[in-house]
Amino acid sequence: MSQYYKDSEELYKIYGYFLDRVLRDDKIGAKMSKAGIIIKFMYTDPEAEITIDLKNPPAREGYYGTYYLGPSNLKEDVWSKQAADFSHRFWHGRENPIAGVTRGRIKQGGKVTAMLKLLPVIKPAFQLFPVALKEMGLDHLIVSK
Amino acid sequence: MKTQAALRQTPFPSRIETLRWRIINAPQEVCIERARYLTEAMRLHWDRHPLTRMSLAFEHILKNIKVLIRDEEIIVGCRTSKLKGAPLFPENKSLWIEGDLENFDKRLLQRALITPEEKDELATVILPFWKGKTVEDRLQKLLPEDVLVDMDKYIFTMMLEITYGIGHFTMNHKRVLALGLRGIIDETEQKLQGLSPKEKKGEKAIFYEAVIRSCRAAVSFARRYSDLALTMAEAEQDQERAAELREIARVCGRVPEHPAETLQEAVQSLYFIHLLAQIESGGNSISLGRIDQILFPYYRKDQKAKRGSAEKARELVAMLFIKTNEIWNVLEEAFIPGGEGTEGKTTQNVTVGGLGAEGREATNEMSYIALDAYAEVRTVQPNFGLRVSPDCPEDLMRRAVEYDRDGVLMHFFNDEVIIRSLTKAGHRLEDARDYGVVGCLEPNAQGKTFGSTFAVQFNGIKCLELALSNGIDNIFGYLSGLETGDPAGFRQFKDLWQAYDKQVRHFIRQMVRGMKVLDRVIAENVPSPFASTMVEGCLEKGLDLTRGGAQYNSTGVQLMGFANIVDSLYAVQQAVFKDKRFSMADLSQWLSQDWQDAEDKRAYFLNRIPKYGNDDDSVDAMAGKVMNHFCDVLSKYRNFRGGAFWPGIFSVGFHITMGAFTAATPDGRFSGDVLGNGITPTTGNAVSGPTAIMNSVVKLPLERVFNGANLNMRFPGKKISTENLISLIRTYFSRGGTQVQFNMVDSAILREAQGHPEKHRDLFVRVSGYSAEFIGLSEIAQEEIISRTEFELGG
Repeated sequence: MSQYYKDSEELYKIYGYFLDRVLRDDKIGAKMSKAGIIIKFMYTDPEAEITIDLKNPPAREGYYGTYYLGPSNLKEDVWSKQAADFSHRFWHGRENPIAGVTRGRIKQGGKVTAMLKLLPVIKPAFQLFPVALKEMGLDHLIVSK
Repeated sequence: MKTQAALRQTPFPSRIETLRWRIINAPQEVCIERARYLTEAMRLHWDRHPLTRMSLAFEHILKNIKVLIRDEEIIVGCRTSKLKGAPLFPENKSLWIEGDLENFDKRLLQRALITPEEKDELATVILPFWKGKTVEDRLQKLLPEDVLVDMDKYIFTMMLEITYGIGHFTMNHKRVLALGLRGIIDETEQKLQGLSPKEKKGEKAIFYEAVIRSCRAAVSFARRYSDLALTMAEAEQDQERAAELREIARVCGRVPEHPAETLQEAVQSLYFIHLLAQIESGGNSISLGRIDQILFPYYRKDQKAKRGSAEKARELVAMLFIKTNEIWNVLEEAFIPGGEGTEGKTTQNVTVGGLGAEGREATNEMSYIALDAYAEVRTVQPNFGLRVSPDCPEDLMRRAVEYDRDGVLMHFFNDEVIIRSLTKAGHRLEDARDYGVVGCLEPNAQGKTFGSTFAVQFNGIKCLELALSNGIDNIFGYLSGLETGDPAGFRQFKDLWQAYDKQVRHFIRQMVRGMKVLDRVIAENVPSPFASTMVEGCLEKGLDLTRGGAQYNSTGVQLMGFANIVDSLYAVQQAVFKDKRFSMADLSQWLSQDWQDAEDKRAYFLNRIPKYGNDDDSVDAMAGKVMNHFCDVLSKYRNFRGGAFWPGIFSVGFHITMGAFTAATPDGRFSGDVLGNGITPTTGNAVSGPTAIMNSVVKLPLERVFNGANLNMRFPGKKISTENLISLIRTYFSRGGTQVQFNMVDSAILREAQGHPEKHRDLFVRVSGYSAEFIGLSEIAQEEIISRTEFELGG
């Protein structure tokens, strides 16, 4: 039972809002796009799937990449599977992905090395995630330090 | 001394070419046979003493795994039923197998085929048994919480030892070849009978019984090959092959049970022992060591009896080398970046040349034969090296260098310095002289050492990051290290150094605590009675290898980001404290923000401050200080087996992964960028040529780095003369260098291989201390190799 998400619809709503901010951000989005990969995030509890395309030209103007909420036909370069709650804490900068992997909380495959290169790039996004939640009126979902 | 092998120019027989391409083109596969029979035995015997149950499991595995003799083979023996099959070792860590099960055959890197039936058996029969019983499970229970927390920070990792066990040793093959397992069984039985009544009820007796059981199982395993060969001979239409099969039957009926008499028997016996140690446990990089010293007496015996030739010997050794390519361990997918390259983590080292135990140059005819065999096989295994003493015959050196220029990958080891280093580390001089090399480049007394040489990878530059951020991990933004003070308050370089020292000492201490628990769990859960038979000391002490039975015990700890630490510390010393050009507060801020909006400052730190590798005495003094410090910090600790922690500086693939988890550094490096590898200067910053690099390196206290230090250099092989390369190596060694290795492949060829991988299946490169199939590396690792500076060296 998820601590933060009542269903996948809510998860998509939050991540959609958040990714919209991240992929338009001139600093974070621009650096992320240099990775040139397609990443698929698979979530459990609730079941959900989000694909971020940093390889093809962005579908929308003003964006550095494209995200897809729900199953996508795009072939990913790298995938990561984790509980939605783990991901929620990760985007607050509260979870170490290495610990996630070693303790079996995250499974990942494909161009893992390329994904590792994204870690330093996304650090500023940790500050954006709680901001996004606040803007959406979801203060109760912000993980306090 | 006759040293010239006459057959260097003779083309290899087609058999070797067939075997070579067969292994190069073989798909990687997972094989569950070992895991199946291990689990069956453990299910029956779980409640018995670990030594007893491991030896019973070993016996059950060897009785049941498939025995196969493939077309054209003369040297036989398989770990799995698949040509390039990776067995599984669920007794160490099973959770990852469960997680990777559906993905083994879909991976981009280390793709490994597995049948649906095998997946099903693993999921429903094998893995459920191991839940709660593995080394990892017990480790998680026993590790103090604070150590667990620090392990998750990836400042140090023991990943490989948790997943596969310890490995990383050479064996006393000379003894097995001389006595046969029968002789060893007899000796062990005598020791067992000689125990006091009290001892007979204790662990010593259990150990000896386990040894005897394991050795008998090994003999039976070889006999299964003998029986198979005989059956195949009877059905064989080709009379020539039938005769070969009958000879295989005879050889496998004789060795390893009895002493070897012929070279073929010696090679076969050696390979059986090498293989069996890697069926018993998954510990990586069990190495053959001094192949020329081991095999030469049998070659000479054949020569005297006029029953062999140098050509036949070369063929046998080539077949042995090809067989080593069948041995590999599949890695957990998420950890592949730390061990780039399929075969890398089972790096089986072989050396030729060098001093004998009595101190005289021991190069012999087999040294040339093995070198020639390796040069023509040119596969990723074994990891081949030449030991160079001051009396190394010129023609051997020349031949090795010529091969190297042509792209045959190898190490050059400096006997003088390594022997001094090993004696400093506590080895008897005779044992130090008789060192074999393990894994990538770790020198160990052949057959006498259990060195756990690749136990730990330690991210030193991350410790500096933490010192420059008052303990904050600049990748994630949370507190990760010790709070060693706000760097804005550092008034002198000494303040920064003290903060760095505290961070290093803290994480080394935590690593030592973690290693002690891990080694204890391995000893208590998965001892190695068979391998214990092969390493001196264990039978004498009546103590398993994993408990400290070997004559010499140590644990290797590799420092990552050496050049980055040096360049970063020097940069801060110069730019902040000496020139007072920037403040600590500003620098700390730029680093935490990955040089964002501070490109001009980054350019200054990167380009305007001298870097290690340019023969600059001031920077090189900092390099010496960093290296001495690492050695000093480690020197106070003892491991679970009573040995020391040995410092090493070589990176395998960890300069890539640990770089990904290291934020921006004062050497001008961006967050996440690759770190320097081994003691090699960072890419692009050694701008004064190869001699300057070597001049910098020889100023370091290399003799204190007992576990080995790796210098990688890259030259355009076709443009460099043999004389110049020999001279470079000789000069480097005469001034104190320990090891060097070269990549000689042009960037154009590497780019071509990226575009057309199917045409370059046999293109191998040096990653760090080991070789890998270039097309099997990740794009990032490929780019890192291409980006390495290509030096010129005269005509």
